[in-house]
Amino acid sequence: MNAIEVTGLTKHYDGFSLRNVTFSLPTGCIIGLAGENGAGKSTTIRCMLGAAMPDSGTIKLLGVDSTDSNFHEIKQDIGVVLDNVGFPYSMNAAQIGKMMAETYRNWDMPYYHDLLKRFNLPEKKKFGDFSRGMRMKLGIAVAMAHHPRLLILDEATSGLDPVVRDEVVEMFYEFTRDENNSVLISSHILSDLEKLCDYIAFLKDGKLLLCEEKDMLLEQYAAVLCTQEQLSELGEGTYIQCKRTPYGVQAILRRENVPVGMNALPISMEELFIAMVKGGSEK
Amino acid sequence: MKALLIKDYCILIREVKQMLLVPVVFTVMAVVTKQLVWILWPVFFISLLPYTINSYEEQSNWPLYAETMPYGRKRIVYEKYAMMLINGMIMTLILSAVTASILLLKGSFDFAAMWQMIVLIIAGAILPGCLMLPMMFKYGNAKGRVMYLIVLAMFGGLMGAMGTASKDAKFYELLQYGHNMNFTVLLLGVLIVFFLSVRLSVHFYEKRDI
Repeated sequence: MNAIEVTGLTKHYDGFSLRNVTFSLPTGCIIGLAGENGAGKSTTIRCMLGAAMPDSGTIKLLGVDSTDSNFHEIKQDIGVVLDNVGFPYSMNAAQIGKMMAETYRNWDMPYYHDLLKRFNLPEKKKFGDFSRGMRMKLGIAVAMAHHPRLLILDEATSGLDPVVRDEVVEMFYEFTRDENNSVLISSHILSDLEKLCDYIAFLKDGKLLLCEEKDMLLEQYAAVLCTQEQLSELGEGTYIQCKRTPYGVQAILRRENVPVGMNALPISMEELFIAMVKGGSEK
Repeated sequence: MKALLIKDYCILIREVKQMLLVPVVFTVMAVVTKQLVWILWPVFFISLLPYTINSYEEQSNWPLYAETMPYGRKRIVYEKYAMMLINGMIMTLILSAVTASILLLKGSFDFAAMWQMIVLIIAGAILPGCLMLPMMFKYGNAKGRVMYLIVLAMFGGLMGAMGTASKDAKFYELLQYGHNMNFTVLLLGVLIVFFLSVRLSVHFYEKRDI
């Protein structure tokens, strides 16, 4: 079964449209949603959660259609961390824990307290007085403490210091060791996505550029270092980006387009992402 | 619903506790001046609390975060009305006791006047919120503020008129004039407005992008 199925998702706002976004995530896998600011990642997530009403398209989370009258019930099994964690400012972590115990059937209070300790979060301090990093950590603790089957994370690692970020990424990774658990993570930090994800989806200007298995994607594309003449021989349509370096010209292209005899170098997710978003030639 | 009530009362205690002195002051004024008209101010004030709390929630991005949790929009709306009812019931109990005391002190206690006052308290505790919450659920606090101002102006005008009238004829005497009015029908009217308001709020909120 797919944990997430988004088909033909379209949503129009003044000055921005999410157009015909389609992707799915098999249970037990992690998908990374990458894109520039304003590419449509958060809009996609808002539509998935039912916070924004899609103009067209269908969304299924854990097999339940978002138009189902009991769609909110499936959120018992979903943990969400949004970019801007939104607990009321006047509540503290202990009060939020009590509230969540009345919200989620599977709320695990000892685990919640354990996560608060692990993240060094004070129980009696007002949420409004937390730093951004502390807010993200509390958001993650709440999202994890009811043992969800699906985690939806919108920029959940931003604002965390490198040590905690590494710990959190490891925690998400551990989470998917259970084959019933799945994760959708949107992030600007492509190294996190590269480390974690099985699938990668790239959004640009509200359109899904691609959604592929990460390993397949990294196998399909390569970088070549060549001269300007060799690049001209390749032809403009064959590469997705080229830029001048002190050693010649670096072009990113599909492996099948690499001419015989030319050395194809592996590329990182970040290089591929920038190439796809910027495209063209960089003088 | 219990989770949402815990949240609202946490916000109420932390953020609005100083403001809770306002109804206490008005209640004391009613007792000291023996003018029952003061009693309707705390009722009106209490009726606005769900709106006030919602403005704190919007500041902290809670409405969007609530969408990530298994509440459902209907339950979020119901909770705000439930809070209004709970606050209204508490105020009705307290103020009924105050009203009875004032009427006894003035030696003019009678059950009909008491019943009328209770109905007015209930109406005061419910109607302003019922007018404002649908707009709040449709537009949010900032845009829905127009209705807040209208309700405030309406209530201020009503209280002003009652205050002026009570200089000549004390407010409890005004109630005597209301004997011809069927207060049970008024109470039923208030309940109908309440249920219509709930339905309208659910309708608006279920269609709103957050």
